[in-house]
Amino acid sequence: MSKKPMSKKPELSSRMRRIKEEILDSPVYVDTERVRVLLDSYKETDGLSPAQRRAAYFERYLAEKTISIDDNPIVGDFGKYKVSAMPWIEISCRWMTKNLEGHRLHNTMGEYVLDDNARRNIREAVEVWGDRCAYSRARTLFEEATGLDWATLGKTGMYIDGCGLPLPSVICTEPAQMAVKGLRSQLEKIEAKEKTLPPIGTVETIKQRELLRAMRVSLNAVINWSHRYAALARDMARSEKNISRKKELSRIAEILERVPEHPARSFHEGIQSTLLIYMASVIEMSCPAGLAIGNISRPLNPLYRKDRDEGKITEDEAIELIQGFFAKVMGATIYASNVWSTAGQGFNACRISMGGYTAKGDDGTTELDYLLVEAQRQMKVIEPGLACFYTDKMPEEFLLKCMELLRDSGLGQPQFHNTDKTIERWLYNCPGVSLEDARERTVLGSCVVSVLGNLTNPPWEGAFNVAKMLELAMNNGVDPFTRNKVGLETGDPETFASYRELHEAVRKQLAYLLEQCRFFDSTGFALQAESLPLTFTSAVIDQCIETATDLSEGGQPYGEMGTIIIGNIDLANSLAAIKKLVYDDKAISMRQLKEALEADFEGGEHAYIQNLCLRAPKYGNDDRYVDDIAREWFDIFYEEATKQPDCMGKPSVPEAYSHSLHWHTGARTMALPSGRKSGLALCDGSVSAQAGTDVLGPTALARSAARVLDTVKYSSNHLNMKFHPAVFKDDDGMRKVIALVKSYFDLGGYHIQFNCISNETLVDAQRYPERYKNLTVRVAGFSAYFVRLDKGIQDEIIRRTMLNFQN
Amino acid sequence: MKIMDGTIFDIQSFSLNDGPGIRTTVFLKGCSLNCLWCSNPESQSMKEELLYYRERCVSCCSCVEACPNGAIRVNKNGTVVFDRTVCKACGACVHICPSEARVISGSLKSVEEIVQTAVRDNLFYRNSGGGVTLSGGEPLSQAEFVREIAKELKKHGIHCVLDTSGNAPWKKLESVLHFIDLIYWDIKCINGEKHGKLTGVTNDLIIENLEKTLRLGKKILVRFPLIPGCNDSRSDIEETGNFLRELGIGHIDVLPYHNLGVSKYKALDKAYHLGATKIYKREEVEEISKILKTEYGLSVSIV
Repeated sequence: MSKKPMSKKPELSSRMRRIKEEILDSPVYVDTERVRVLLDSYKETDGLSPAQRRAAYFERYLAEKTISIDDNPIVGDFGKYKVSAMPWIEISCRWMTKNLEGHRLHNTMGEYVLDDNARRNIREAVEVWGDRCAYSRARTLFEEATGLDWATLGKTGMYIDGCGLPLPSVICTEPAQMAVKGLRSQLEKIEAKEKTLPPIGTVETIKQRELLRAMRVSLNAVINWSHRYAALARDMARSEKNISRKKELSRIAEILERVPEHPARSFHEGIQSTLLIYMASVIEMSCPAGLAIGNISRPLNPLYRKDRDEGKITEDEAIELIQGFFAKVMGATIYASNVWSTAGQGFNACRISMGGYTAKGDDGTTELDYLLVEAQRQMKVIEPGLACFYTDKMPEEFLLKCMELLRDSGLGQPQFHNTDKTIERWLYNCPGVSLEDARERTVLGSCVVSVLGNLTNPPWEGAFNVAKMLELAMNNGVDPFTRNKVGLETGDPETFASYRELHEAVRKQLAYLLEQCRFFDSTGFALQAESLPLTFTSAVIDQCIETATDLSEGGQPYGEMGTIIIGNIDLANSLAAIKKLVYDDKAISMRQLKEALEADFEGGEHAYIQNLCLRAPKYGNDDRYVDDIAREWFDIFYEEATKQPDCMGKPSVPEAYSHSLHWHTGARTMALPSGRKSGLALCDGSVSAQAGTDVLGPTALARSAARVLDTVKYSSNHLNMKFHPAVFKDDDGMRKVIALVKSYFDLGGYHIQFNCISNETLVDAQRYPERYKNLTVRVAGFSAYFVRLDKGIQDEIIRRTMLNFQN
Repeated sequence: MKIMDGTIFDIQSFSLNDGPGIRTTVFLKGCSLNCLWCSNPESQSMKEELLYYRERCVSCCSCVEACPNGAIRVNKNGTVVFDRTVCKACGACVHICPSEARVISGSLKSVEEIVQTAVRDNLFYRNSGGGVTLSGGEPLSQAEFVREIAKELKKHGIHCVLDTSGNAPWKKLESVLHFIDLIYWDIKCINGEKHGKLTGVTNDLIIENLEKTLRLGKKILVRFPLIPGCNDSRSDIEETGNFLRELGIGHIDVLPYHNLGVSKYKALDKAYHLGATKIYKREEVEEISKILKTEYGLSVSIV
């Protein structure tokens, strides 16, 4: 079945190409239909419990929401436009007035477009919710408790808060599993649970009864929504002239009359049902950010096999349905604030997980996983992204198919995860979780967070910039970016007699400020949990029904929520430079260093110091001098970030990844002793090296990366590598990259992602050679670095994909 | 372990084209040949050399003061002038240069240092069926050093490839072979006279060594650098095919010419004689492979 490298591969069908292009060409419309219903519904439900109010508005919105059916064989949209973004007024809304006043905001799909109606709705909503939204209430509570102004802390770039986003923004409800079971099974569970509640009214039992009722309303609202689509499809079929389209519309109507209410019986029903169940949660949270799609191939594979064996579906037809599913996910985007527009780059991070193990520990890769990869190879979309859960039992053929996707898509997909490490992590972090669940239900949430599907609720907190803590320690508590004193007075660094004194000062800043930041964020999240229960999403999680507790209150037996660490490699490289230059070698004084940092390394003497700083030991070269410092600080952060539980009272588990958070925080971090100049991005991922400083190649970087972070204790870690496409030129080259993945995982690494170097990257390397010092040209018997080649030769390489041939 | 030093010009980890699996390639300095197309001109001399990449120079002139030998001066229009005849490749200018326009090629390393570096990637070799490749230059220019490295690698259980032109006294070659798992043998041209013109030496010794090595039962992989206008004529290809068939060698790696090394010639102030040489189109190389395959029964890989 494996294909020869040069053979012609099937391309995207003209139908899917049109559908994809329509979405890519569409502006990102801000859809306020939901906001309108919310405002109207809340007027009517004043005085009712939060659960009742949420369910009432959700029911009304799905009943009134504008729906349409386009040429996509899969039906069900997030908003009323091809590409919609929905404001989450109730969570945080003051910033939205900026967008109304002409401040341009965007996500990965483009800039937001607001019509007059949207403007009116947002304006009215901000008037109503401005002081009442969870974020505003959190600021007030935080300021009263600490005497600190949150905005002053936030502006320093030390922390990007998470509570301005929906709370369970990283969760997987396993929609495909629910599609196989059908929503009716949940209604039955609710009924059964209600019967077990004690015949007495207490605050607790009343809350439980109200929640269960709200869950029932929400489930029926989604069933009704699918029936609305079915009726529309019937209408359209009646007037349709084209016979085959007429038949298709009738089939769509039949399917939507059945699912998601009842168990899916065919692959088409299964994937359609999965989409609606997933999309209903996205709608409930008003955004898809981090809402994982999970593993859809294991639940749906039996349906696909049955259909295929009975001749009801071909491989190509299944691929087209998967692409239809992808297209619907593409149309659901995030309405992000100015902070999140830059920090998250408006990234949704919806991931589909592939591979992994079965409950018994066998290879979990299915035929559908191959089709997912093929669908994406043809479709090439950023969202949803594919994640491969690597195991040693995985077929070579599947891994080669993944490598092909890496080479051909230019998307950095699939990302690779170490399944064994994830299992260890769950058994460590969630005592009581079964080995079977840890094996089978480990999927990817957001960028790198793995979750136990239905069992847990692992949202994130915000992202904490540890490099900023060094800046504060170097300036006795004053932030050099805003010039505000936000840290502790840990003393004048010029008086520190030893490296250890500096170390202690940084640690004090970290302990103090991390506590403040977590206090603020957990307050915001707890306020969301208190007033904005998620009555539909909770209803598709069995344990929430069994405990009659909303998921935002921790309705599931296991949970973890953690703060993200950012800038630790920058911190480690900086501390290593100080240790080496100021304390070990005494090459420069602390005063000289401080002056150079303040001057952003500009000017003769300062530039010389930058040179020394850049040549100090750097992370990513398997050098214990600096790697040990990086490890020490990842461990310190872990210790400090787990001192307090999360907003649900459960143990906190820190995260280590960056999305694009390193840009936002970097823009607010001045020059660092690592040699990095002011305003530049911090290191990406969590264990990627400072640009141009990992000079010993990918294997040394992998060894460093696997060493510095405890991938069992942390809930994520993320390494990026770049290769020229020539590395993937044949099966032999791809097998070597697979061996690199396996070796990194054998060493204890958890998440690795490859980017095939694009021409833009190479052009960038021509402009900024210092950032690409390690970019090697890998040709037989030849040794050279890209940035040292002549411009003419570089240009030629940019033109070629196979280095020893003219293309 | 006998401590011994040798001169290398690079150690490249994650090498993907110098033998099976993921490899660490040790590039040894010094070569007895002088091939027109050599892509590593800094490999030819045994001595340490300074490469000066003029394009990267920002004319800050900090190297002028740093040079203890007065090899660098500034001319009237403010550009840096470098006198290679006076340069002792001490490296003082390299450390001071802010734009890394100056690089020293060649450093003295002990067997221990090289082996330690190579052993670190053990897991990557194990998972990919890889190991270490000793390349150059011509590694046999430092035969004793190479033998000690190979011997130590063997002790560590690491697969070792020798990448050689075969142009060395048999005794030296034989002493190394004992510790080598696989030999990458460059065959550049069968016609002895032409070989002389292209590489500066005749190929009698190379062919004799190849035959002797085969008799020892050593695993050999023949590599054929294919250079436009140099060794790619119909008769060159036929002679190569015939030669391999007679020796009973069934496979050949064809390495099409590339010009990636040209910057290094400029940086060394060396003349590059193949400046105007074209880069092959894939079909051209496939055409040549086809001859070797169909007429001489060889299996061919284009590397």
